[in-house]
Amino acid sequence: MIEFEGVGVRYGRSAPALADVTLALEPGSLHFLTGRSGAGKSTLLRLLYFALRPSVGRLSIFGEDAERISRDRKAQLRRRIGVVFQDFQLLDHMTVFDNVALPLLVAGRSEDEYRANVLEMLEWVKLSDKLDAKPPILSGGEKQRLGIARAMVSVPDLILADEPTGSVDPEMGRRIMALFAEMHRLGRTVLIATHDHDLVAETGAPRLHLEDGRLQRLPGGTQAGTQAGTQAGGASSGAVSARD
Amino acid sequence: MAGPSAPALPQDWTSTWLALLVSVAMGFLASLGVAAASGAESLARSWTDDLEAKATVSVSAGRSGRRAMERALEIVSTTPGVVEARALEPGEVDALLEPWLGDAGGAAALALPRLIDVTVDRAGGLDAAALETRLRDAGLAVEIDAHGEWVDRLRPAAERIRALAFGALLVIGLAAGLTVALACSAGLATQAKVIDVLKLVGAEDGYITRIFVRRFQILVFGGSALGAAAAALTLLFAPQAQGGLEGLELAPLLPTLRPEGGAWAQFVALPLAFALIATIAARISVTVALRRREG
Repeated sequence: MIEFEGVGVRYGRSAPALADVTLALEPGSLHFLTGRSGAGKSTLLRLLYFALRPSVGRLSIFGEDAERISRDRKAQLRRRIGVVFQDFQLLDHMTVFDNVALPLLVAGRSEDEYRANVLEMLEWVKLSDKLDAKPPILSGGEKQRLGIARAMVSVPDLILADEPTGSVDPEMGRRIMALFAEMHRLGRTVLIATHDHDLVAETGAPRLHLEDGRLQRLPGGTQAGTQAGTQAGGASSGAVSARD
Repeated sequence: MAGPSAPALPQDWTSTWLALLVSVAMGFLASLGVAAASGAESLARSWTDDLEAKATVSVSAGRSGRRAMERALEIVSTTPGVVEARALEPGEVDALLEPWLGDAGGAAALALPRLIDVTVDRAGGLDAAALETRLRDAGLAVEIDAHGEWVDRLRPAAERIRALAFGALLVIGLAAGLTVALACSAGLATQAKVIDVLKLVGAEDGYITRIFVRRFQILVFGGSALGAAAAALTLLFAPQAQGGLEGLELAPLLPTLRPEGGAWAQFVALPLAFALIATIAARISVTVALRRREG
């Protein structure tokens, strides 16, 4: 489904944000993406939702070469990707309901078709009582839940999340993780970038660890650092590899 | 609760007011421009209709007045291109001179030339020079005033007025298009975040373009319709060029800006034309801008 072959990204003349990443994510897999701030997590996610192009290497998403697809095809593929942004990326002039419905609206679905889905998703993230509210009056945690609801409402094939539990309390964090797990159970591919080691440990899903733009694969529940190098080759699932 | 028809673009008052006010002004000016063009056209047509088919032969009769007049009438009547030749009655001459001599009927006391009113065949026309030669060869002292020559000199002037009005209309249309393009670019710049989000959730360029196009279509149509309505009221109630000249022979020579009959349709057609211009301008501007954004 997703293949990186020697992918590197460099912003201007600075050190590479990603270097020689080779990775394959099988359909239906769940991975965490870990690493310090500035390690390249957001860059890797941006590559996956076509907000960025590799400086070198080849990236294939849903079997299509990211370098060769047209603008409209990119848009069509983005509809198969749900993204939870660290900065939420909500539309302040639209209501909670409309923000969540946006991916379906853009895909040409009618309200009759998606209304139940939207309401169910808002129920799950506990925003049912704020359907008509607009993002500026929501708290940080509510905005994050709203972003998660929008990312998942269309049950996309690939779900990318950048620190999805960063602004919510532990109980809501567990609830959100249950939602990701449900998507995984439904056969969706999930990649979650996080600093939350407890969350990684609880879930036990395999980890992709980035350090200085280089990718290592770690089994679930381990801490990054000295163990990383020794366990990098121990792939158990999901055909992940990294060349350093 | 807001449904799916909620606008995907937030209200951007700067570009909204810019487009609306400019559209009102453009609609107003364009309507006046069209009225001027159609006024010039109808004026040119009336000159053609009224003057082109007429000529006047002045016969300096002297003492052998009656015979000279009869001879002149005979020659004029048999000239190719003449439909009718009629000697003006003394009363008609008095009426023509009344503005200068008053109504005392003094024309008869003056040694004035006798006048023949000639109706010319529109299709064939009249060779005034050849007619004059024939009349002089017959020993008659005559002057021929072929109105067609006036028309030939007036018609280009009317056509220039019409061309000027249409040129102004073209410039107004162009300015409207550029204004919409400018407003679109401003809108795209201020709504960059909205566009980014729309793209991230899978909106194609066509979807985003349609949102902008629809907004500017509505704004420009509404604004130009308002401007056209204001122009219609202005033309309906404003004094005309012929104001105070009614009844004088000069009046038909002046243009009328007040549309008549089907000409009022322009006030519906112009807003539609502006909406079309807005559609094209917005589409091009947004398409180019979206392509530039991602390189």
